[in-house]
Amino acid sequence: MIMTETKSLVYQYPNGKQFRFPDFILNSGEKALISGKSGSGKTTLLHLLAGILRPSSGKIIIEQQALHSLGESGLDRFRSQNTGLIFQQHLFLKSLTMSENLAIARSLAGKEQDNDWKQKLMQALSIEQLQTKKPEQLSQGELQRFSMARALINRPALLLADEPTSSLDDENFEQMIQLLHTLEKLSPFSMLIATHDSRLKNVYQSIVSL
Amino acid sequence: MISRNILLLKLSVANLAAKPFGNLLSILLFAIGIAIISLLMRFDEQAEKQYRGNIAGIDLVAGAKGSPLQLILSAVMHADVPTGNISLSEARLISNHPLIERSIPLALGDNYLGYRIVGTEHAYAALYKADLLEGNWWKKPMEVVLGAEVAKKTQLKTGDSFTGVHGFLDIGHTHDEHPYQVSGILASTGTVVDRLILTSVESVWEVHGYHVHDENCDHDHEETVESALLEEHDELLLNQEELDELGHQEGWLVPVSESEPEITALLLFYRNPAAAITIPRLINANTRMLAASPANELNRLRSMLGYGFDALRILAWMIIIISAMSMLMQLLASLHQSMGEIALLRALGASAKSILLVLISQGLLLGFLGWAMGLLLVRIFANAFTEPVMLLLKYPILPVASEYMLLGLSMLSGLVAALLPATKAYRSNVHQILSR
Repeated sequence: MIMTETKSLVYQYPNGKQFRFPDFILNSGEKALISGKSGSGKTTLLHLLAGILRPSSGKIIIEQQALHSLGESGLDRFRSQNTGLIFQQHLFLKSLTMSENLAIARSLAGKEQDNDWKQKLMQALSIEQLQTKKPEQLSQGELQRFSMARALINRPALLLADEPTSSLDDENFEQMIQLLHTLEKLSPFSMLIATHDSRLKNVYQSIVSL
Repeated sequence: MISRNILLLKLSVANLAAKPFGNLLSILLFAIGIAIISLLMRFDEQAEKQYRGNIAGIDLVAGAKGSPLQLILSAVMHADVPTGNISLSEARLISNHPLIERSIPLALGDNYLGYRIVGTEHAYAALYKADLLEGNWWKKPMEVVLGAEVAKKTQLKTGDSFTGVHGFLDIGHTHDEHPYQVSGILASTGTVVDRLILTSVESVWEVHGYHVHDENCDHDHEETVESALLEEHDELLLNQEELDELGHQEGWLVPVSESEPEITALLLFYRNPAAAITIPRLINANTRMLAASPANELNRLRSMLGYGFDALRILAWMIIIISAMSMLMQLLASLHQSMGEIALLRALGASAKSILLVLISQGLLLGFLGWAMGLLLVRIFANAFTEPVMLLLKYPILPVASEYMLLGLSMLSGLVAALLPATKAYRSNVHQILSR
C-alpha cells in the first residue's frame, strides 16, 4: 500500500531559488533516505512532506490525502495527527518538563492523553526516569531519545527525520538504529530520513537523491 | 487530560518568569502609574463626598475678616485655624435678618488631644444627623458630647472629665481650672462631627473668661445663647430696603467692647434664594465680618488643587505609557529568544492563532499583574498617611468601582504592548527557523 507519493514537486523560494524534486513513492512500513549534499533541498523536501511548506507546484499525497487540498488549519491538524517529526536541533519547550513536552505534542494533535503509551515509549527508550526533568537538565543523547518519543507519541503512520544521526559517534549511531527497530515493534511506521550521513546508507535504501 | 490551553497558559507564565528582572521592572512601573491614578480618582470621589456631607446645607458662614477659604476650612471643615472672632452683637444683627431662616453659632479656641472643642447649639449636631449613641445632650456649661471618633480614640466615656488645651494643637496651656464632663457620645456620621467635641457656647466663654451668667446658675444655657441671638429680632424686623439703607450708614454697628462675648463664626441658612445675593454683600460691605459661601470656597479649593492633580495625572499617564513601552521591549526580547519554541509549537500542530494568543496572553498577564500590584501599592501608601487624609482615602480590601475601570485600561495596555510581538510570532517563518 502506498504511504507517500509525490508528483512533479517544485518549490521556489521568495529569492527565486527553485528546487525541482524527483517523483517518488514510499510504501507502508518502508523506511528510506532522502540523500544529498548540504543545500541540495533535503530539509525543504522534508518540510514540504510535513506540510510546513506548501509546494509552488506539484502534488504530495500521504495516506491518500492530497496535502494541497487542505487549508491552513487542516494542514496543521493533519501534520500533528499523521506525521512524527524529528528535527536537526533538539527543540523542546524549556519551561515544561519532558513529560509535559510529550503531553503538549498530544494535546496539539487534539488527542486525549495516553499515559500507558507514553510510559511504554519512555521505557523502550530508557528515559522514564527523566520525565520530570526539564530540557536544560538533559544531555544531547537523552534529548534525542525524547525527540524520538515525541515523534511517536501520536502513533503517526509516517516519521520524518531531519539529519538525526549527523552529530552521533558510531556507538550512539548504532544505539539509535537499535532504538528505531525497538520502536518499530511497538508501533509500525514508515520513515523518511533526510541525511547526508553515509553510514545510514548501510541501513536504509536511498529513495531520493538530490 | 492535560488541557492544551492550560499548557499554553503555563508556557506564557513560564516565558515571563524566564526574564524576572525586566518583567518585574515593567510591572512595577505600570503599578506606580496605576497607583497614582487610583489615588487621584479616590481622592476626587471621597473629597466630593466629604465636602458635600460637611457643607450640610450651610448657605453662608460669617466670621472675622481674612481669607474666605480659611474661614470655610476652619468653620465648616474644621481643618484650619479660624480667621479670628466676631462679636455676638454683630452676629445677632445678621441672624435676625428677615432673609435668614436660622443660624448656628460656633465658638472655637481649644482642643483635647488634637480634637477641637466646639461651642455651639444642639442644632449643629442635627445638621449632620448626629444622634446620641449613649448619655445625654449637654444641658449646662462644661458638659460635652463627643464625636464618635473622638470617643473611640480618646477612650473617654460618659461621666469622664478632661481639661482642654488652648489652641488647636494638643500641646499648649491647659485650662486645668475648667474641666469638661462628658455627658454623651454621638453615633458615627461619617462627617466632620465625628472628630469634634461639642458643647455650649457658654462653656467656651467660661473657659476664656466671659462670664455672661453666674457660674452657679443652672438654667438652660443652650436656650440662653439662642435667645441672645434672637432677642433683638423684633426690633430688627426691617424690610430689605430699610436694612440696605441702614447698612450704608456709617457707624451702623455698635463697636465691640473689650468685655463683650465673641463667637468664632456664624453658620447661616437662607430663607429664600434671594438672600444669596443680598446677605453676603450686606455682611462684607457693612460689618467687620467676612461672609463666605462654603460651596463657592470649596469649589475654588478644588479648582486650585485641580492644577496640581492635573499635573500628577499627566505624570501618571506618562508612567503608564513608558511602562507599556517597557513591556513591549520585554515581550520582543522574550520573543526573540523563544522563536525556536514558537516554530516547534507550529510544527507540532499549533495554529498561528494559538501562537498569537500565547503572546497576547503574556501582555494581558503583565497588564493584570501591574494593575494588581498598583492596587496593593495604593493601599499601602494610603494607610501611610496620617489622619484625616488616611480616613479620606481609606480603601476597602477589594477594588473600588473606579479601579475596575483601571483594570480595563491595564489589560488594554498589555494588549497593545503584545500586539507587535504577537504579530511577529504569527508571521514567523517556521521552515526558516527549523532549518537553522
